[in-house]
Amino acid sequence: MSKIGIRALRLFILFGRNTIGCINSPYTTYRALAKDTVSSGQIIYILLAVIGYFTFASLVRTGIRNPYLLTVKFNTLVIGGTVGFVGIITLLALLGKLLGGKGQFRNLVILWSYTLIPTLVWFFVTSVFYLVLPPPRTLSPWGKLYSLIYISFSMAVLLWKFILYYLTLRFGLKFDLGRIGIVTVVLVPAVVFYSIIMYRYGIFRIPFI
Amino acid sequence: MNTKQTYQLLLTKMYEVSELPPQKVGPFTHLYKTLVPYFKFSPWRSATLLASLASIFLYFLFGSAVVKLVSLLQFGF
Repeated sequence: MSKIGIRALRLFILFGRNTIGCINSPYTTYRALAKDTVSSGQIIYILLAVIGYFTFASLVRTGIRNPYLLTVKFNTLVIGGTVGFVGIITLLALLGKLLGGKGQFRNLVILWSYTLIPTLVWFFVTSVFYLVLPPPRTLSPWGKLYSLIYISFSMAVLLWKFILYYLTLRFGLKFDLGRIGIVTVVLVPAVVFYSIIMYRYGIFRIPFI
Repeated sequence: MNTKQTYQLLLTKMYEVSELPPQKVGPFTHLYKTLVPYFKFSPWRSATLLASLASIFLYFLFGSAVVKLVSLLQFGF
């Protein structure tokens, strides 16, 4: 195996371990990820997973009959996702500087990239269930049961996302709860604005952040 | 492990612990310190339990609106 291959495999193992860590012990994993010695190359797998998901979502939404529409859909998803990712990182970095954060930009990018895992899980599961059990749901007992399970799943993933967001600010910028609150107050309107723009242009109905 | 290595490990650990100031939330600090461990390790257990209870609560509060919300969310990807 070539040197590049070995490095790619090493980064993949690192990515896999950290992903499992984000599920089982996010606190310990994020503390370790915030160290300066952590290899930033591992986030390439998160970005690849995001690209993979956008390809899948484009296929589900537009099908393969019209390659032009498929390409347009894929490109708009990539652009919308990139704008959200870069926008939030920039905003966090700016707020970090304004509020006296101590972390490095590189660490912030790594930590925020890992918060995309809950997002990917929710979007991927929703897309698959869109195919398996297409909406709308009915008011039958099975429809209600499915709705309860789906809402529970969505809320659990949202809570996971909040935990990772909190840990990003805690370890990435070394913020206390007060400053995390201030960042959140600034970030929420920005996310709402981003969501409205994405909705208006028909890119994301639920923001991919 | 010799004394020098142990000392080095202790130093690293001390640096790691002191790098972040302890979290304080005024009169709620005790409550915060009690709740947070449930989300530090295996948070999916607490998250699943909380989310299940919340969804049942939402269903009793809003009834069939929850079913409509799920239909909307399913179109949301």
